[in-house]
Amino acid sequence: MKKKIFLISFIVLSLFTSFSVVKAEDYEKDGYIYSYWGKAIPSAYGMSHIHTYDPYTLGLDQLGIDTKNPDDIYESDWLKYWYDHSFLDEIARLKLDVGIKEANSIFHPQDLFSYNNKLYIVDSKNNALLVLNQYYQLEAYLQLFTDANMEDVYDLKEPSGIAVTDDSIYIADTDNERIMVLDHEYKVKKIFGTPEDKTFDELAFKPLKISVDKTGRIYVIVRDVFEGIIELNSDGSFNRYTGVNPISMNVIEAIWRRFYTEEQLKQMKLYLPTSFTNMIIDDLGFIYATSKADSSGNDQNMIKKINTKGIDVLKRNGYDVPKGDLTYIQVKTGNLQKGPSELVDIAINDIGMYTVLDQKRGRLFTYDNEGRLLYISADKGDQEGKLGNPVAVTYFNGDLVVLDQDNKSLEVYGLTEFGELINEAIKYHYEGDFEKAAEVWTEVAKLNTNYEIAYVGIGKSLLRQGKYKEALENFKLGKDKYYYGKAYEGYRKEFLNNNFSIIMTVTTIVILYLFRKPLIDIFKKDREDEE
Amino acid sequence: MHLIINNYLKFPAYILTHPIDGFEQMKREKKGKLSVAFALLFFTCLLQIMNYQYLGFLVNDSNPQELNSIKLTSFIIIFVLLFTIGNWSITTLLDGKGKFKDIFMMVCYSLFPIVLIGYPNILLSHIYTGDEVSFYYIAQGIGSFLLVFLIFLGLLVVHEYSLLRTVATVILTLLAMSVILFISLLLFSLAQQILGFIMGLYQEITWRYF
Repeated sequence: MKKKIFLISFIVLSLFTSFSVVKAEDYEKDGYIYSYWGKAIPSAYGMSHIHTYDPYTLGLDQLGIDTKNPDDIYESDWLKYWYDHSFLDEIARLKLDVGIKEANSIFHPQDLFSYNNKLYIVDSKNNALLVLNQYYQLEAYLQLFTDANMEDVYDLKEPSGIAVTDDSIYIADTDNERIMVLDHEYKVKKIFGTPEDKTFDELAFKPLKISVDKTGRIYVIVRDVFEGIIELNSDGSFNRYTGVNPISMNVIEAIWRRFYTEEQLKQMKLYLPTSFTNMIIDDLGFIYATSKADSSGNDQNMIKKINTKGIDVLKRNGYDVPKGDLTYIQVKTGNLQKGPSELVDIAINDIGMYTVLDQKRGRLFTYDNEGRLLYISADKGDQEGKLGNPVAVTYFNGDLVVLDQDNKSLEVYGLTEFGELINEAIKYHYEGDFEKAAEVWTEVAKLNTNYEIAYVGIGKSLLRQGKYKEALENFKLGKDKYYYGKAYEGYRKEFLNNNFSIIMTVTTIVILYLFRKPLIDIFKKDREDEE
Repeated sequence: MHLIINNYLKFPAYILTHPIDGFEQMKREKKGKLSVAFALLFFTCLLQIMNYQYLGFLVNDSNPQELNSIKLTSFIIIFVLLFTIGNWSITTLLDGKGKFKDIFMMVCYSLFPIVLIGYPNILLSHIYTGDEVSFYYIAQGIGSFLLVFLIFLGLLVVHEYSLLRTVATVILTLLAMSVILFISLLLFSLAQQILGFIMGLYQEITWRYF
């Protein structure tokens, strides 16, 4: 009896105690991915660190030290090139020297943009524009700008955003409260000040991030503006807000707020829609934007794809909504970060894939155009190849370039064998070549048998070939219910066609057996009638 | 054999089709059997596990790596016991005519439609294609509706209440259930803390003196 009581109480107690959650942190050494169940499972990194470009390899230290003695500058060839091509008059050059000497940090990158095999970086502490060529060599380092007639000299003050188009370079000159437009010879074309809207009657216009579409419309994320992204016409005049982040408040809170007094409401934190953190515009004019999770912890639409109407059209067909890490700790323990990912930048490539940068844990999450998580790369840490305080990311010649403010460096991540295969498969998939995609997916599945998306890819090809049974198995492994249903429809039809005779025979026999009594009765009756 | 079919199939089916008559007979004429009630409870628990593990892929959302049969079965058993105890403690105060055993048997017999629909549904879920999955959900819905319907009528008959009174006792029962849950959770956390305290004390003493 005692044993029984002990056993029962043990079972009941065990129900209430053991809850273990597998966290992403458990796998951070070797890379991980989220399975259909939303659990972190081991997987290879899709992109691995291949190079670090620190201020010294870029030659920025020489800029600071050697400006006093112009002769020293000419020792290095590229710097001579830069000096000859910086298109500044003498006064500007003089100011430039002074400007460089005043810099308090050698390199403090804030945002970057890749255009036409060049990298454009803004440095928010040295107030400079850096241009690197495709070999990561410095082509220009500009702190002062003149207009085409060399009449005025303009400087930057904590610039934090940059965008480049075919004919212009746009810089969000935050503390000067303006947008600077340069041509490709770094001459100032236009200056856009505070746009005329009643928002800015009380609020200073502090542009943080900037993006420009093909028609020249300018999209700006402004500090402390919660109405959305500001859309300016190509002449800098205010047009509208777009892509508003809706406020979310739960019912109970809304009811409670009705009973609060004015004083209490003042003390409570404001319910504001979350502001955007960064954006980029693709060739078709869609704005890919990232934002933080809002104050109530809603992290479902941290990534958005905004169309010209201002509506979010991002596909979320993956196992989970694209939002960075899915499982994370709720309470801070040790040096682990709590809460959802903090997405600060987004990079897109030409096959509809996008990569978001999580500043909180220094991770790069790559998704395809359907919103399926493909691979997770990088991590936070002090070792080489890990990120300190990443602020911006972009695709550059197939690699990912991450700006790191703590390391004062550009960290370049290249595709691993695993990532290369995935990208190839996604490319074929994007182009509609499912057969070739399936071949590549088979290779991917060999490298990582837990990679669920690969099986869906293989299954789709098998479904087209009419191999329903094999397709079924693959869809089951890939946990794709929609295509499983389709494959099953084909499989069932095939099965019925092949076994029609047997099934019909069996059903006839069963029916005859079940209705044997009335049937026998009918026969008997017939016989009696005949007699 | 005949007796088994009568007890395990025919009588529960009779209750399903004639709930008021059926529950009346169960109580008055002692047609209901405790063994049958336990068997129905057992089959419902088994159904939970089977549902978790063997349901067709299209309707199965459970992770096979996390199958915990104790958790699944205890959910059913705790619910049945909680409801029975809650209802019994309310109705004894409000002159209900049902004994504890009557209420328990009534709840267990009401599980019959769940069992009746659940097992064939597992088989059928393997045959449905994508669009036909809704048949599965309709059947499940009918099952749960019948369960609630039977329990409600069962309470009415067992306690010999009027309709309004039954509704009132159901609400009070839910209240009683939540009170019981609250107190038991409180007790559990208290027990855990006391256990932790004693363990800590033991550890301190052993480290200090031995």
